[in-house]
Amino acid sequence: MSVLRSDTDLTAGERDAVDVELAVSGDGAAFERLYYRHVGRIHGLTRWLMGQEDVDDVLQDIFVRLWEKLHTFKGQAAFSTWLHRLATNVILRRRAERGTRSERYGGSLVELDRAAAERSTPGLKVDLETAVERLPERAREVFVLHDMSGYKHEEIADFLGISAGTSRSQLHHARMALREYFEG
Amino acid sequence: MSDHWTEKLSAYLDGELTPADRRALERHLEGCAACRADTERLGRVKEWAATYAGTAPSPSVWRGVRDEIRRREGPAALPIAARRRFRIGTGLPLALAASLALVIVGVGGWLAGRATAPGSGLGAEERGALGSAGAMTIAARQTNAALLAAERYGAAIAQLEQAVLHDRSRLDSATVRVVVEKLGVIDRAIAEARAAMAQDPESAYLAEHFATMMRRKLNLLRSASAVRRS
Amino acid sequence: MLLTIAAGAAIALAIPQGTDTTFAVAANARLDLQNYAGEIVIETWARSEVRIVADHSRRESITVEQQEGIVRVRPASWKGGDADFEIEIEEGRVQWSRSGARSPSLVEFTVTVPEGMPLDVGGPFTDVTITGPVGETSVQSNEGDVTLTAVRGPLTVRCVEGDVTITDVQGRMRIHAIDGDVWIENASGDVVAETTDGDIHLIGVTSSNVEATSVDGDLQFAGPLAAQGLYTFATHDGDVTVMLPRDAGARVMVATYDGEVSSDFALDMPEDFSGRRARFTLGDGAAQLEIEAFDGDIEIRYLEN
Repeated sequence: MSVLRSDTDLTAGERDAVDVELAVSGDGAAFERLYYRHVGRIHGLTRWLMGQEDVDDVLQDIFVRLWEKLHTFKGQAAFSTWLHRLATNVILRRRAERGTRSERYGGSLVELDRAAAERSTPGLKVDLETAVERLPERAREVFVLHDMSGYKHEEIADFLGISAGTSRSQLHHARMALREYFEG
Repeated sequence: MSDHWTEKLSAYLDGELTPADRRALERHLEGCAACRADTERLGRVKEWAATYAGTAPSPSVWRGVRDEIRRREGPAALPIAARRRFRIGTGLPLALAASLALVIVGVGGWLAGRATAPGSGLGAEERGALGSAGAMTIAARQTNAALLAAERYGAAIAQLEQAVLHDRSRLDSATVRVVVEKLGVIDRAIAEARAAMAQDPESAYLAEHFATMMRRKLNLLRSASAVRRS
Repeated sequence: MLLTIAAGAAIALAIPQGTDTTFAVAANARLDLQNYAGEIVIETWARSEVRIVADHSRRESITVEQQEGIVRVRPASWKGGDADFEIEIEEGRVQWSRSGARSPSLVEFTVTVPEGMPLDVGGPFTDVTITGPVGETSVQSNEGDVTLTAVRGPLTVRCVEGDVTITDVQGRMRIHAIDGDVWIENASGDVVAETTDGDIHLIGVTSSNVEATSVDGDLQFAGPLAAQGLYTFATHDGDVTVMLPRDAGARVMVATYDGEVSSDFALDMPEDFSGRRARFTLGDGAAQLEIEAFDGDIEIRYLEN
């Protein structure tokens, strides 16, 4: 007969799944655990997609919405992925309300390359998180939506009103700009 | 500096190249150290984004979340303190807590006067269905998570049944009557879900449905037992 | 007898055999009306006044207080303050108490409120009927039916024993019943409807977020599916019937342990999926539709107008 495994044997995904079940039944401590386990990453996501304004406010909206929608999580995808999608929906809606949809291309490619060149000079280095913040808007958005939230280029193209091809090239340029931070 | 090959590196890392292009690129990489270095660094950027843990925001954010939820659903929402009130003891391993719950219910009787309590905890077959550590399919993980959650519900249910029994005289008879009747509806559902799981222990749907029914029973008991002095 | 009462005053009206009073209220005032047993009927008008008509015995009187933007109305015999105990129920959210000496009496309220006024009304053994464009509304009843018509949401209804009927409503709806049916007709806005022993009917519901669950009861839905919408229907012992426009698009998941799945739409389904889920796509697959009936049939039908 198998023995019931204790908490320490659970993977992160299983721990999330159990806490989701408990939180859905009203267990506040389980919901708080989910919050603290995931808020750091969602904080970064929010900052990079919203800019500096309203970040705490939007974070709050995201987790209140998480509470309301938690019972719809069925466990086919990882909880973290599902939470990213929920957060991204809240953020995009908030941005649309704020009217920050910029029509411009989001920084020319020349600008990106120059920025990358500057960073490779010693003494001008900032940390990686700030580097992401400093990416031109469109490249930053695509990078965050693709590499953090796991969206496909076709979905990103829909969100941002660009073509999938543009999304691909923006992603590539964002990654190229950030590669300076890793020794190759 | 961008050139023909560099442009394709991201697509390569994301598995978006056609097989022909991929082979051509891989041949190029064998002979180009700069591109190999770039590929590795781009991969590290991608990995960094995928595993980035970030930093927590100010504590006021959590307080804001909690307060807004309570504003929408009433001050009893997010009952962290309430949950602790119903724990059997602190720090007991889950399996021990669950077996204690079964003992308590066995001694104290049960709302409908049955000798055993079908609603409060897993039987041997269900525990046997819980997998051991190691590689598991997604469905098996879902089943496991659902069974673990149901186990926890079972312990809490046992606690609450006891509380409701003792406090019965203090509750309005109309409330008790409705709650007891509807508990019967849910218990029948739990028994049927359990029997189905025994027939098909691999099914994630059946395990999740069982956990859902347990959770509904827990919610109904909470509603009967949440008595507060004004 | 009509009295006009200024905002900010606390008054007790002790008028035998009935109450009829009208008073002015501030623009953003909310109504908090709790009744032990009887009826609450609420209608609206365009004035910035509240009219309270109450039918009750000689020994009863109605207490009305206005403080900090809340108009609090109670039968005087039913004290929420000094009580032996107070019950708060999560599923059927009731706040009521035993007062001790005298048991509360039967009161039938008819209240007219300004359009758009937020409401918090209910009581242990009270039927509640609200008609007209009130504001954000919360209704609680232990034993009693709740009927809402032409209301603007958001709405929260908690009812232990009784049916909930909602018609011509716009706005977010959350209905928590335990022993009773839920009917929602001609509505738009997010819907969460839950009962333990009862059926749920959602007819002519236009929403991008619908969730209906029962343990012992049938579920019925008729309405369009929004792209990116999420629709969940789950019951333990009962049938689920979902009626959709012919051009509906959704990724569909059905699950049943003992039941049949039948559809007007062309499906590609495994022969036997007892105890398992089956997935298929309708149309462009834009929405997400989940249907679970442990012991019951699932039908997906064309919506004919």
